[in-house]
Amino acid sequence: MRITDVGIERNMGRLLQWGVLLSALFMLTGAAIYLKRHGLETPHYSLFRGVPSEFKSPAGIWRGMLNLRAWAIIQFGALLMIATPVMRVVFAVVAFLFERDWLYTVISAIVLTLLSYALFG
Amino acid sequence: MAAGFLGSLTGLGGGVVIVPLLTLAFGVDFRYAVGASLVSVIATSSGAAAAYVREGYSNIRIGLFLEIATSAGALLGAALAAHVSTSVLAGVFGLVLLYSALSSTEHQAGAADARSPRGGLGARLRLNGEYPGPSGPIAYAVRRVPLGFSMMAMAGALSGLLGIGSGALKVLAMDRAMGLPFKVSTTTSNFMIGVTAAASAGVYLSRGYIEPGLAMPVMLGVVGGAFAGSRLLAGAKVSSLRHLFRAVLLILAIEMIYNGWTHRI
Repeated sequence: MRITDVGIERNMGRLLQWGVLLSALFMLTGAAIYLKRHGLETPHYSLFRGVPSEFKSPAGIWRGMLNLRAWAIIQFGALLMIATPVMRVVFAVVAFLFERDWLYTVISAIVLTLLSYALFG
Repeated sequence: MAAGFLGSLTGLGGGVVIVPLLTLAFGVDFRYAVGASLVSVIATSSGAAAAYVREGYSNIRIGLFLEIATSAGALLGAALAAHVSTSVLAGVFGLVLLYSALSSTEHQAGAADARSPRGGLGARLRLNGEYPGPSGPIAYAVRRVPLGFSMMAMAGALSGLLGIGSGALKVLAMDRAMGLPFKVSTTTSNFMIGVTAAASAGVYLSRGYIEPGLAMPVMLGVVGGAFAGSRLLAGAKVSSLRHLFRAVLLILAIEMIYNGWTHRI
């Protein structure tokens, strides 16, 4: 049992690293586009306004992506970053299922439910 | 701005440093700071995870089991954050920092207690494990599961409320309450932090607290730091890790409480 566990964890680790790198790549791309367009404006984050509603939902971010909106691309990177640990839990559900470890299949499924509720609920 | 974050990250969740830095030094609104911090907390956790996993310290079963408590807590905390004033949040933040700094002072021995009971809830949930020692794998058993579980729920709530990984509290719960070896606690907590932060980050994203322009430089800086930091842990001395940890927390705690008290945040 222990040996397969180590296998699971190793693959997970690799998955996570790719998720982070990919997400960083999206952020860099978005940043490059943004800087090219808006250059040296000073942002004002001391005043809380909230983010435009199009950047609040996965669907809205995706629409902006297709239009090559810089903000949407950066936000997609953030979304991807949030999705990385979620993917890890998905991976765990599947892996435990393969191990026929029902107890931990259920446990990781509960965690997954909570996570999807956070993102879409 | 991004470069400033690089150094400060070794071993910590990261958020515990980022939120005070953004709010105190750059005057960013607390909610934006929390949003940006959550994303970079995930980055730290995921970025470091690969290296930790190779060392074989982290216990994924413990992580997932306790994650039920933390993600539920995180949802609650993130929901609560919208209704609480930022000065109060800053005050709570400071107290959390202070508490984690002080309680890690008291803690001396007691970890890696291999003589803990082999039966009980820990065994039934198959939480016990082993980690690579200098001479072959060292087995360890889990104690006081319910206590650890409820501490984790609190850690999750704080994470959602304050945008920290609450790694300090997680390590505390595993290291002290559940009697896990220190390195197992830190690496497993690192795994859990990402999942917890993802739960709260989802709520923050849908509420518009994650500002791309702020999250981006913070996160990019953090990714670099995380990849560097995780390489240090395997070789580092446990006692020096603890000392560094404590000193950083203490300073930030005082500053946060002061600013919350005087309503400057």
